[in-house]
Amino acid sequence: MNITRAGSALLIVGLILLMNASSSHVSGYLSHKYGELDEGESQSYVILTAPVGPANMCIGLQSETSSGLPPGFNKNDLTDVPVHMKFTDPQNHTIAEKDVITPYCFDVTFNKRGLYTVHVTNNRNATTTMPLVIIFDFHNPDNKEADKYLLSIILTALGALLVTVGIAMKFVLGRSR
Amino acid sequence: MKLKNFDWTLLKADMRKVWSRPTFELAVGLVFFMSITRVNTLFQVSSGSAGFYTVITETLVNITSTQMLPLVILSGILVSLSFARDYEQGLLQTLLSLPVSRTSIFAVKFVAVVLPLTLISWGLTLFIIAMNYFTAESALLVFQLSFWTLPVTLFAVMFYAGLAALIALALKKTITSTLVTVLAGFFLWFITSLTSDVLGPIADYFVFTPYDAPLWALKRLFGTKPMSEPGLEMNLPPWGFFILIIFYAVVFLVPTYIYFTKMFEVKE
Repeated sequence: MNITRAGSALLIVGLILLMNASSSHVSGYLSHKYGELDEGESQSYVILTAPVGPANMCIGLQSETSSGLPPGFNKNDLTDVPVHMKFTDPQNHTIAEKDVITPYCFDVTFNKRGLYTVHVTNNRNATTTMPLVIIFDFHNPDNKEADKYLLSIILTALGALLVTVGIAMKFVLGRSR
Repeated sequence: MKLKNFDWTLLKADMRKVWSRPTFELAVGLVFFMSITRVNTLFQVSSGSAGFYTVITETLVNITSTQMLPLVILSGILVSLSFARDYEQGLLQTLLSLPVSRTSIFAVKFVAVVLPLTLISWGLTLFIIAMNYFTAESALLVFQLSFWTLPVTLFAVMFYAGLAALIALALKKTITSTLVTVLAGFFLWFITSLTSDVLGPIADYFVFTPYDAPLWALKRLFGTKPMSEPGLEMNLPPWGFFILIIFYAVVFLVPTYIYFTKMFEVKE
């Protein structure tokens, strides 16, 4: 296979990836809730993510969408619960660790691909649900997969370069003959 | 030794002919475009120890499922180009007059389509999976799981290529055989996409068809839970599905090979 054909295949892959990476992004309000926590009990949420940029994360934010019921309907959907929270990045480095009162919201930036973990320990003498809510801006271009976007640009540029070099070489060799 | 060298030369020449510009570029573009549309932005929240395994296996099954249709179309077109166009242009007659066995010619023509198509499909699948899920913790898992799509894709492509070769040798016309093969592939895809709401209980048996069996081989191997009530697919173990897809891979290939080597005649 000559250099022009390899370049054009790379260019096609790069352009399709560029179109995909620049058009798809995470958006809106994502709520997750698994079971209930007794006093002293801990729960971990694992977030498997691409580097999708800035978001707002809320621990223990009881809402209609997290339970499917109106706020206050479920007796275990408690607020003002003292909890110990720990948030770690894919390299297991602690980003935040503190005692807080729910609902507790904080800004995060997902800038690495991998597993982020949120550990929550219930410090109140009551059983409660502990939803994790992640809020992204509505259709914010910053919430696209940054590494995939970069890779698509590199592939497109490399493909274009190889095609140009291939055509130039063909032209030069053709003239020299 | 000379014969062996000549076979490799023939294979290289045939591959160059079949995959000439713009076939290779179009195949890469079509397969990649269809595959990438099935991969969502990675953002999943789960409880406890999660989910690289689940998310990678689900994506692999989705990609393989999406690739089936372009592979049907491409193998149909390329095999028809390889057999029927050579017949129409008189090249097959020249090849058969050379001191090369018919087995070699058949093998070369078949391999020249099947092998690159499988490698394009698998290579792009591996690229997409690695791009989305490659991290320090998941590197080995990514390669281990992606590897299984290679034999599954190979057997699926062999089935469609075998069907296409039989049609091409029977009809001997490039356009006609291409259309018939693509239509046969579409028909197979359309039938298997019908649900039991439309067809009744007979639709449950579609998991054993050439279109669905490769996907179920992967799903059963990975232990993917069925979306709906488990059906007949749970009655067959993963290796059972692999035997089934190997059977499908040779079901048209063997009669086509016998026809080509024993009965096929080139008319002036």
